Amino acid sequence: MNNQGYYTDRICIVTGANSGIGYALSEELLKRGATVYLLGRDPAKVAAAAGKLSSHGDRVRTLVADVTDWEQVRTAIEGAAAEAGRLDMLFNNAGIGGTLQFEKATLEDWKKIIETNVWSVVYGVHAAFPIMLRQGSGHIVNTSSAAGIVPPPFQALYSLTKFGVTGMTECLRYEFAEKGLFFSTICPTNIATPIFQRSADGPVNEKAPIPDDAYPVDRAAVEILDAVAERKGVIVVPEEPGTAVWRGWAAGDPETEAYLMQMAHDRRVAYETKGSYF
Amino acid sequence: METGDYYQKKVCIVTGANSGIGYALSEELLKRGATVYLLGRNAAKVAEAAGKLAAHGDRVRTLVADVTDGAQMRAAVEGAAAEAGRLDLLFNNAGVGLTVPFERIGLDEMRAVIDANLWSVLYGTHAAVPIMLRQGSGQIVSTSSIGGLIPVPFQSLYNTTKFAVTGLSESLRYEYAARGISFSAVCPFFIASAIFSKGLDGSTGDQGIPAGAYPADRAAAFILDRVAERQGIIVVPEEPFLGLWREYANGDPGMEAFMLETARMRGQQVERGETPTAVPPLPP
Repeated sequence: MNNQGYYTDRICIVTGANSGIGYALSEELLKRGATVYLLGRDPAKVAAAAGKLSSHGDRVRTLVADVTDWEQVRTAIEGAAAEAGRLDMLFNNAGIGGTLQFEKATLEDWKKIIETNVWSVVYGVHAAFPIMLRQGSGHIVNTSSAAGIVPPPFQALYSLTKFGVTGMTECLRYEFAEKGLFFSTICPTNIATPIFQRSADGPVNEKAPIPDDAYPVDRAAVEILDAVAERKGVIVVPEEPGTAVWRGWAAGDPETEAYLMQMAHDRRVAYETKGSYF
Repeated sequence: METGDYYQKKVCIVTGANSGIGYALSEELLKRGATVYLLGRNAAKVAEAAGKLAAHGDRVRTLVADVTDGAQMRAAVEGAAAEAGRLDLLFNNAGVGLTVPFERIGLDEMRAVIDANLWSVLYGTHAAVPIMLRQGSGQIVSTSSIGGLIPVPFQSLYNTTKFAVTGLSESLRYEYAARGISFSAVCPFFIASAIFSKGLDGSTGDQGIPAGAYPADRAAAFILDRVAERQGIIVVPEEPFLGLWREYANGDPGMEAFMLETARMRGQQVERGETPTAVPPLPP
């Protein structure tokens, strides 16, 4: 579709911008003419990501902040808006995975994933919406997951956080519809990103494989930004089969129920025979 | 359906059992022959609720614990299971409501809602699953909400926690299906309960229960019938809300208009200084 002009000169912040969907969104936003603040916790990694995008000149900016720290998030977002004179779009994208057996998860694992996947979004929204309300415009795009609309077995931790993000974002979409603010919920399935190497129950494992059948992340970024420009609420990427499974689950469709039960069986067998699903 | 015997001699824990749906569930479980541990934070209120149910004799038990405290919840759940020799059903029911514009919610209040509605369910589930796995059987019933299926405007933090509870419960339902543990997420709308007047600190105000609310005892009977069938998502009252959820998931334009109208009416209530609880006529 033709929305190439939509992002020209927009001021955007992307959290978790070093890698994965965050990096791909940043790159695609820059290609479409936006100014992008890449936000990440590790200054070296943020600088490396910005370096790879340096052909876009001074439209590439950086912010160093830990998304699980309210003061750091607020300082970063308010600082960027002050520097750029406005804030058009915030992509609350940072997050970690959590695919493991429920009974193996400790309360510390739960705390880590809720802080990283839920509180980061709450903090981002809480810091950005007063700026956008004053402007009378703005768009907040939160990365949920297909696991935020359909509950996959062996992803209880992840699914809990992502359902939370979906519920909050959709609620705010309706609540602020009359105030000029837009909200979108991105629900990706199996995109080729390092999330497979970042699980709540352990350190980053850069040797963990990214599944061969994963969807290309640059293509996902293009589809996401096209849908965001249309101000769509829930954006499932790729659109199918995620959308059909969501509707089937909500409808209590026996085939969807059997599909999810089979998924549970396959994952359980994988854990019991090789200790890991991936 | 006939589920009269299903609960005979089952050992149950109900959190938030002092009032509302928790009290109604406890009473109905006792009527159906279960042993019920009423769990609440306030010892006097738990004792008072137990007193009202004294006709059921020693099948009425009490537990005093703060559901937002992981160590207290673990001690309560493990203690009850040890005393009774088993744990058949855990009802993670305690929770608080919050219907207020997002911009008026402070971070401390956000944390209080997430602790009360989300961590409470996690602590209970985390304590009960190992016991039920050892038994090879058990059921965990968590109270979500219609707001855990449909994103109701002006309930953003409440919706966040309730969507999360729905996702957790349903993910675990599939995960443990082959290991004898069942999970249900109860999604009530507008039940006559103290949630309408309860503050985050457990204090009760004088807001009262809105006219037209669905009777809590009828809701409890319906919920327990569905739990006995091991139904995953239990919407109560079932119609029209189950249908509305499906229309929402389907992206139905009538439903979208209904949600936007809900937001518009509630926005006007906020401007008039009222609690934003309006619900427009349902879509055809």
